[in-house]
Amino acid sequence: MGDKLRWLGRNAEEVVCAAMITFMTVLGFANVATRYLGYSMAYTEELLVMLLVWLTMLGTAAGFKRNAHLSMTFLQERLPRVGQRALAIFSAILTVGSVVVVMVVCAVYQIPDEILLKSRTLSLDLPTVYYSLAIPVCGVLVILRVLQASWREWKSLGRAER
Amino acid sequence: MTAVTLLVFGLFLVLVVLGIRIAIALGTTACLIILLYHQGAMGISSIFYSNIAKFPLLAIPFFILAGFVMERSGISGRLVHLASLMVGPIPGGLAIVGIAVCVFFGGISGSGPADAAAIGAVLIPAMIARGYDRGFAAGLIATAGSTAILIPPSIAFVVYGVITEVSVPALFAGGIFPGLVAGAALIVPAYIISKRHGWGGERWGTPRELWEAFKRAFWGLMAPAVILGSMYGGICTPTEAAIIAVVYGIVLGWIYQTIGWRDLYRCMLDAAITSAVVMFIVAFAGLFGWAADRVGAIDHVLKSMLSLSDNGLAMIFIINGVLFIAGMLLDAISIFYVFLPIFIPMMAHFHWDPLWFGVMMTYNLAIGQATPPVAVNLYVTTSLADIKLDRAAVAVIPFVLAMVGGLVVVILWQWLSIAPPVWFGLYKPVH
Repeated sequence: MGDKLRWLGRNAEEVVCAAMITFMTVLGFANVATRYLGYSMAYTEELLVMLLVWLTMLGTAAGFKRNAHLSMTFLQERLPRVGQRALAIFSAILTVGSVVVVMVVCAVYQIPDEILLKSRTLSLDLPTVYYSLAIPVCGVLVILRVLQASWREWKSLGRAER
Repeated sequence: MTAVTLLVFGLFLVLVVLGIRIAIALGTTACLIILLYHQGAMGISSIFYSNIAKFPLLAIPFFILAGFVMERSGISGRLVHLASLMVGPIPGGLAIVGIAVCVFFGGISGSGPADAAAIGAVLIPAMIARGYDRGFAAGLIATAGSTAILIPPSIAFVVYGVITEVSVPALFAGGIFPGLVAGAALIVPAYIISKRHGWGGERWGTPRELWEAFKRAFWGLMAPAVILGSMYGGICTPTEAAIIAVVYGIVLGWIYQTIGWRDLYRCMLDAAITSAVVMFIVAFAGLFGWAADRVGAIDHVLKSMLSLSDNGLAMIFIINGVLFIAGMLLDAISIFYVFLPIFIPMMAHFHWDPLWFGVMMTYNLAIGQATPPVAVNLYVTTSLADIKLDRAAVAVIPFVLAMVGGLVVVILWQWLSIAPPVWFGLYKPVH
């Protein structure tokens, strides 16, 4: 039981991401299929877009864990170990920095504005906050995974030196 | 104005060369510019967000998922078997099979690396076993796989359509002939090199074998018809066609008993993360484009480029040179967001057709998927061939040159890109 929980802690984004995209496929397919039966589920399009925003942010976090984000490592690989370590820190700072800027702006300006204006989506009439909350909520997760991955990289660069 | 232009593009370039992740290099530059030049920092998150919250972009996760599902379903092996019986004892037989199947699979998959992975996993080990050079095999499948973003469906065309508001189904149709041109161009070096090294072909299949292979590959052969047919039959949007592709692939995997629950979970998970990585670039690249425009950097680059030449054709070749170099350092999606704000006004200035321009640009960026140091397709094929990138970088040169030859054809013969969308009544040329 404890093992399972720990696995879930490490793979939380993965499980939720996979569930989300499965649900999106089912929902999207239902929309196409039911249109033939003369029944409209056009409102699902709005739901799909909302899920896309959440999926992007959650999957980004998981992507940092797997080192899936694209970069040009040509120069980096040819640097001495010290340079590689310095670049690893620099990269972590920029990543956390830019995500924090977007998160903070969202939490401090965008979301309070949306609450104040009571802005709602067009067809489902849901508060738009349901969409925008993805950025600060998953942003925390992104930062956590960036720090974990950077720490791992830092350690492995140190080990190889000896 | 020059200082800020230099800062925008210079800083971005330096960060990329230092090995900062491309999405982060874009995001850092954008945030820094907006904060330094007081361009409304309160808007940062809503621009970031509005770049991804777009219905047409939903096609991206679904086409990526379709690619993973089709790869697992095992149809690529069946297609390769059928094609090798048809190509027969021509020198470089397996190489030509590889090109043909990659181009065909491009009609199922919308992403270059997915195409290269699906076909390469079957064909690269087979080629090595038959004595082909590992670098040759990796370079060939990397370039042939890049035709997936020209042959419909295509993730690159979805993004180009979202940015420029050119119809995505029309772009899809426009990519068909240029994709075939690329495939045909690749056969030339594949044949010559194989002949020189004596890499022999297979044998013809007997009619009975051909019929058996055809039956085994039948549902795979039907896949492009199902995906494109549902879209061009007016039944559904590109996004929905992508969903149909996913469901078709899962049904195939169920019939062939190749996709179990565990495989399905892996497909879903890999697709979710791969699409998130793409969408994360979209979000920050869109922010970068917005910031660069706000501080006047786009306008400045535009004016400097226009001052280079009044000759439209000369300008097209300059643009293609720039894109080729950019393709070595960046992925296609970032390039669309960084460069299109500059190119869109140029299209109006020189009266270039935006559909043709999109096809041409996508063709150039397809080459970029196989030109190192950043070469998403070559990463896939070098790991399948178990060689270093340095070795594949040399081996890929003849194929890149052949692709460039095809690009010149696409540039000079605009009819290739514009005719099919006009035939299908999807597009009216602007000029």
